[in-house]
Amino acid sequence: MAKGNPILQNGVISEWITPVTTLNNELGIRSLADYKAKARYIPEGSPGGYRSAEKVYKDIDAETIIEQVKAAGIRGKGGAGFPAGLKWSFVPKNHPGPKYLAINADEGEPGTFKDRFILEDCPHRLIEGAMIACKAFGAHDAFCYIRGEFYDAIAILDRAVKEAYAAGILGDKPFGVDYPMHFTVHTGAGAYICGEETSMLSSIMGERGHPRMKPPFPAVEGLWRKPTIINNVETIATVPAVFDAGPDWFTRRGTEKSPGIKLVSVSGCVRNPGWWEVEYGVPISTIIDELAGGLKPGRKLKAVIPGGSSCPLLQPAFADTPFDYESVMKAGSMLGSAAMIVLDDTVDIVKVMHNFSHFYAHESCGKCTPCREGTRWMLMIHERILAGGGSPADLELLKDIVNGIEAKSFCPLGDAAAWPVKSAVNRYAEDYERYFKAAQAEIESTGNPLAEAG
Amino acid sequence: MELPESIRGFIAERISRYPNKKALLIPALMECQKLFGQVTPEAAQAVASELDLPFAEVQSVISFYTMLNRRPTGEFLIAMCGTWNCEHGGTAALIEHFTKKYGVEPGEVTKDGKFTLLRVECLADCHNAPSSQFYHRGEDFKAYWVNNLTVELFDQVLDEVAAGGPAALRERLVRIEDKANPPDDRRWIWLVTTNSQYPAWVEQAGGEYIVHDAYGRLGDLKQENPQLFAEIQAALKG
Repeated sequence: MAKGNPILQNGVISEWITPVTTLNNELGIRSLADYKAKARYIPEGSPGGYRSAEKVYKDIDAETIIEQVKAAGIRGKGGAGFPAGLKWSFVPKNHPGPKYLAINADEGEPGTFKDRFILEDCPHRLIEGAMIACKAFGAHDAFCYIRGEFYDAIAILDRAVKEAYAAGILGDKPFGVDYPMHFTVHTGAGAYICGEETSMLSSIMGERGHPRMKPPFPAVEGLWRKPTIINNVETIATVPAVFDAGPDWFTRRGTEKSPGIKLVSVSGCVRNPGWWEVEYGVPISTIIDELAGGLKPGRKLKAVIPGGSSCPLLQPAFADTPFDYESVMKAGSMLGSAAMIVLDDTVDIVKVMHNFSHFYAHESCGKCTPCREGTRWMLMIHERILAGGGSPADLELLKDIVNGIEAKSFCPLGDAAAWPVKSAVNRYAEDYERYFKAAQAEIESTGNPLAEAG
Repeated sequence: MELPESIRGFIAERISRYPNKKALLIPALMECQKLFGQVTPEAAQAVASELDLPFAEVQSVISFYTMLNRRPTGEFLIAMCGTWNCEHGGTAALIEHFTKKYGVEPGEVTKDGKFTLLRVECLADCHNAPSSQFYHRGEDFKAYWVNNLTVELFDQVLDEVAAGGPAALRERLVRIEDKANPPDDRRWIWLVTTNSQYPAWVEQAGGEYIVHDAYGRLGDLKQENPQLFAEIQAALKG
């Protein structure tokens, strides 16, 4: 199971870090009985799982739900940071046919392991959030698309769904209200691309996970060409707290444009990797030093990837950047899924980029040429450099390939593959040059075979 | 072949949630993968018939998704993560050890039919790198995390699983580390196991060490896995 938060029992260790937040109260709460008895939406709240959903189903109309979520400023937590309430309001009103909610639990971004914890440790919170979200835009069916590797999470969520049906929380009359609500767990089968929203819809419909053209946007034409809202697990799991604590609880935390809280997962060269829920705006260095235990003794920070492998690398000079969408963007990277990968001075950036290029070349779906060909070329060039066959011209070549992929691919996977390499060749060129020098020295020491032959 | 009863039941239970049968294609194929360790052409044909889909369409879907194997696999399928965090933690050495130990390449079945190792991309277990999952096929399919690996530990797990079957895939102690920045005067540790890492603090009472887990999950584990607790006691004494 995922690692817990040691600060939750021990009060404030930094004024920047919310000591106990919404999700940490629900560590290991898997059964409905525990969810009702022990779970709290916010630290100061009283127990009572599904209290928010009951309130919403009995007393609150759709427009008010959206207003409240907008007022709380909840932003999409899967990567793009799009405001959730605004997204819900895009669903055409009075649409006659069915509408759907598709929850993205295809957590595949290297470095990200936050949704797994929600699925495994507080599955009922996700179901409750889905119920509220569905009522907000008039859907009766929620599908949760979980990546195939999460066998534990699938089994745990499946069991929670069955419990909720048995208790009459899901089904034809939730809480006795005439608003049928169904929740279905749907498994993927190992494709990173299915975390891209339209590819996920293709996969749920039983197709190869290829992205689809937007517009029409999924909110207008999604699953089976019906209006579909796609939200990340964490976004949906945050919703119930809004109807218990009120939107103010969120806007009092974080920054003006990124209010509230965020799960961060920290991995790489830190002493205690793990995940924590923090307020937006915590300095990156605080997360690394105080939560993740800092770097190993004697090591120096070389780079931070703030939001998973698809985000540009940040140099140590940016370590004090506040961790919110706007500040990280200004520093030259992205908050993404808040999967912080920390690299110290023993790490070779060329090897990191080789590994990432391998990942994207493997996961490119093959639909569009810039991504399919570009990712493979980036991999092959990195292989050649590592094998001792690099030359300074490779930096220009990589920049050229990046330029050919970025903003020219069909879906964001191409950008995700290109951005880290772009930042590496621009910000860490000295790592590449070390290989070029070694290759040049190798040539000089062995002499020119053509000259000898003459 | 006929589609196994368990998979027909799986489809029948869920079909009312979807507007058409095709939606269940990938979950149904995953059930085949869990049962057989691969999706054989016969199984694909049976799924195609059950869902009223052309065989070619089912094959095209199978070829897209990496978890659907088209070649036979061993009794245990090992998904070894090779993305950066795990690679940095030593995946290459683990894979090399496996290939030397059994004389087979990734993707091949060991001669005793027990294991197939696949190098996969990120398993979302980066805090426990290097990480892997062991899948034991069959009606009682189960997936086990085996993470925080070292070559010695991996070797030991392989031997014990080959001899003892899935029961040998119990959670094991990997190491105990003192926690950086302890929040108070107590002795704070990370218990690193093959399944997870637990922040905990330790109290000494008599000759025994009592481990207080930050969220009380070790309490349940104590019943299920007494060996793990014996290992923890031994490590704390040592």
